[in-house]
Amino acid sequence: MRKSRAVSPEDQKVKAAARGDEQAFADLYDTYLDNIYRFVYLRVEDQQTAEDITSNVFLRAWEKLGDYQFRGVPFRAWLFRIARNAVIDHYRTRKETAPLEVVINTRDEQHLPVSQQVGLRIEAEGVMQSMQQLTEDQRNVLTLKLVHGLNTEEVAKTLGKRQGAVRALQMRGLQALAKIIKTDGE
Amino acid sequence: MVSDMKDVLETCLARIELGELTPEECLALYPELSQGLRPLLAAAQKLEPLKQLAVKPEFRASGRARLLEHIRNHPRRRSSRFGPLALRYAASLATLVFALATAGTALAQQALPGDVLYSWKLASERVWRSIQSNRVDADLILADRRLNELHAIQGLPELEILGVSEYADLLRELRSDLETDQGRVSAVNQVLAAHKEALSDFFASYSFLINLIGINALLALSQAEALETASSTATLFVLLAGLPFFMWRL
Repeated sequence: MRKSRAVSPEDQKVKAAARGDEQAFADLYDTYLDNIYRFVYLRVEDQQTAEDITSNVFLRAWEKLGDYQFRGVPFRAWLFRIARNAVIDHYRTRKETAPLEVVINTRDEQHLPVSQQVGLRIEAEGVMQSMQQLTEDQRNVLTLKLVHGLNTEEVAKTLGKRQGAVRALQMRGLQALAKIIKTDGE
Repeated sequence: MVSDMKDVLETCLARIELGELTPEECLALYPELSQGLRPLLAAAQKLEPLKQLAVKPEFRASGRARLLEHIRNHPRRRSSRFGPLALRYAASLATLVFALATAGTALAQQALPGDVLYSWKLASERVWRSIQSNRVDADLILADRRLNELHAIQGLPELEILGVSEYADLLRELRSDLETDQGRVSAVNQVLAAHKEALSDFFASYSFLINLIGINALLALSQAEALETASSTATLFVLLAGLPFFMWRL
């Protein structure tokens, strides 16, 4: 028997956007902008580049949405897949390496005391530098799972890997990260 | 053990994310793995500040405006009623039909009068003839084919009459095309002279043939009319004589 799934409000928005509904797509943009920007920024580590790539991700998503199928890949995993490919394209075509310049804007920056803002930025900068020493796959898995909150199945679909491979990458990535943090702390 | 660790780590991270457990509570649940698990959960906690990363408000607004402008300037093509899978099936079906048509046409070229594929052969010849720059030359090539068919079915009266009828129809086409291309008279003359000789065995049974073949016969108006009459007669004869044969074949 075919398993039926309730259509979520997000699925309805995706379907409406696929039919050309601008407002529905704008809503999806609002929902996922931070996620996609964060994902891209953690790879390119340059604010302007991250913004450019993020904009391109949504333009590509708009162009390709007509081909998106609800079978199998959830929308956000599909969107992260586009973002991942956009980052890969960026590294393939860029002519010079952007300097590591951590400029972090946080969700609640406006409401945090300056001392906390500074502390948060220092922590984030430290983790990002540590993450640089991981493999690309490990970085992708840790970011998607632990920063963006995708489950293992979604990560596997985003990266085109088996769930067992994702779990193994997660463990090896955390082991490596723990080692780097320990070394840096000594 | 490694597998256990992977699974336990997965479980702990999921339950911590959901707020069901703290890292310490999770370690307490798996004391035998806690030594290896502790630094991994601590490393995972180090990623927490990254969750706060967000776009600048000005980029959010300007990016949204640019996106909407792009959407309005580039309305996305509406998705097809049929998904990519259906289109793939359609493409496969079209390829299959094309392959079958090609194979069938190739196979039909060997067909003789009375064969199932003979109509297909004649249809494919009509298509081929319609795209030739010189119709008379095309007619001569087809006349050679009809001649070869007649030799192949010689001695089978019920098929011979079909072959002779097709040959007569072709001569009529040739006459029509020759009226607009008088420069090819000598070439036609040579071919028809050879045909007259090659078909001499048929003249006893199909006497009207001798009045059709030959350039003079072809060009003479009165004989051309006779040709049409003969062709009509032959067609009628084919219908009457061939009916039992077709019924037998079916």
